[in-house]
Amino acid sequence: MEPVGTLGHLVLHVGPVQLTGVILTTWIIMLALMLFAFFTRNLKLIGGSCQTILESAIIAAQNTIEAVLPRHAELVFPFITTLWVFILISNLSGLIPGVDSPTSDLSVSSGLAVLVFLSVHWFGIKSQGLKKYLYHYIKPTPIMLPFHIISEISRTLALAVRLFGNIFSLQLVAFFVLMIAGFLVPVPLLMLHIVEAIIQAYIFGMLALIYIAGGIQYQELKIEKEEGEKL
Amino acid sequence: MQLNLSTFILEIINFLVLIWVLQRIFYKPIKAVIEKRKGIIQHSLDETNKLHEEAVALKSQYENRLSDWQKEKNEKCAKLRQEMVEERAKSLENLQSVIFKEKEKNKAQEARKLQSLIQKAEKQAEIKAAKFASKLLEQFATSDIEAEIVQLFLDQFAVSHDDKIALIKAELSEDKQNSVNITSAFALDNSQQEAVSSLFMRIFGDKITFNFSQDVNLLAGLYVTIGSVIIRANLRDELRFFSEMPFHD
Repeated sequence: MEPVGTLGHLVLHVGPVQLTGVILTTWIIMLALMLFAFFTRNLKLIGGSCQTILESAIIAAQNTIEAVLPRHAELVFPFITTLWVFILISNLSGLIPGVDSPTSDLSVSSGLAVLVFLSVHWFGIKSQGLKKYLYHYIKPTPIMLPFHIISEISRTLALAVRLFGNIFSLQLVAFFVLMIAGFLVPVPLLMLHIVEAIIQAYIFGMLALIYIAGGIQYQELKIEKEEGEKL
Repeated sequence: MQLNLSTFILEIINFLVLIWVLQRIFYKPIKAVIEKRKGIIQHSLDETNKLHEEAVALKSQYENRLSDWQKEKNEKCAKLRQEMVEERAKSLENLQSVIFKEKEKNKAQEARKLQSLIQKAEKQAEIKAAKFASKLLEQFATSDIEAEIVQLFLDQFAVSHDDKIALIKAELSEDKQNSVNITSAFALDNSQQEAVSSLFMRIFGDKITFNFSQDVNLLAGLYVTIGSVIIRANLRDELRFFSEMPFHD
């Protein structure tokens, strides 16, 4: 199945690197986000409505992260928030005629899922050290090690496929409906696209957060238990 | 649904770059502003709490002070009331004393005034009585009464008027002729004139000349002047004497 948008067909070759339309779309989104961030530098103590919305969004993200991971919220905040922002904008970009959502490409969703996979281990090792982190894979018994590994791989795979499948199918359905029913009929479907984009971004970010929290808090719970036994 | 390795790797790199950029130019400034605002709000809250605590402390202090003031006020009011009662009693006592003295004074004044009025009335009564007696005696003032008075004068003058006799003697001059003025209410007859003349000449010597005259105002009796000495032996002077005499109970 090929991408349905115009940019999706584009393939540029720069040496051994292939620059697909998805990468170009991603760069455009990144550029847009950076420009937006650049133009919101002049923040004031008593800001306008735009600043209030931005601050509210940031505070909401921070509160959500703190609710799951109170001690390491500051550590994971940039990663999780960027996931939400990037996936949301990427999902919504599919609404623009001629543009495919980058998240409807398996390479993109897989890249993000692999990043989540790596970040789980990165934050886990960073918080407690490599040895202690790896120790939990053989707990409660070393027999559990293969299951832990399968679990890690399967949930990463599930993350990648879930996002790709939802967004790709949504775009495909919208494309087919547009082809069959005409101009105005896909409007409710586009509304559904917005809702789905928000939900999928939230789910991907929350799952990433929960996975990271699981890696960090397992170690913390263990330490707290050991300290409790000592006392 | 193909997995493009270049896209996969580039996407990972893109995302990591995006995290780095957004962290620096987006999240940090917004968080800084939020933290700064939180700090200001917290500072304001701290100030407000501090002010509130100060206000509560001041309120408590003022309430205590008010309570003290109220207590002090009640004590002073009670003391003032006591002083007022004492002062009123004292003033009342003084006033009663003054009123009593004033009453006594008024009573004395009234008594004096009454005494004066009584005396005045008595005086008037005496005068009226004298006038009445005078009027009454005028009816009885006859030549016979005068003869009786002259006879009484002749009988008693030499016996009971030594002081006057001494005065007259001192008044009379031995070298020259002295005159004696004798006034009577009715004209004296010759025997009476001679009896009177011989009486005076017997007492004071013979260098005396006698001038007899008549004055009906004397009612009855004689009025004799020898130098500066006057001898009153008539009803008019006797009545005047009685009327001017002080009244005694």
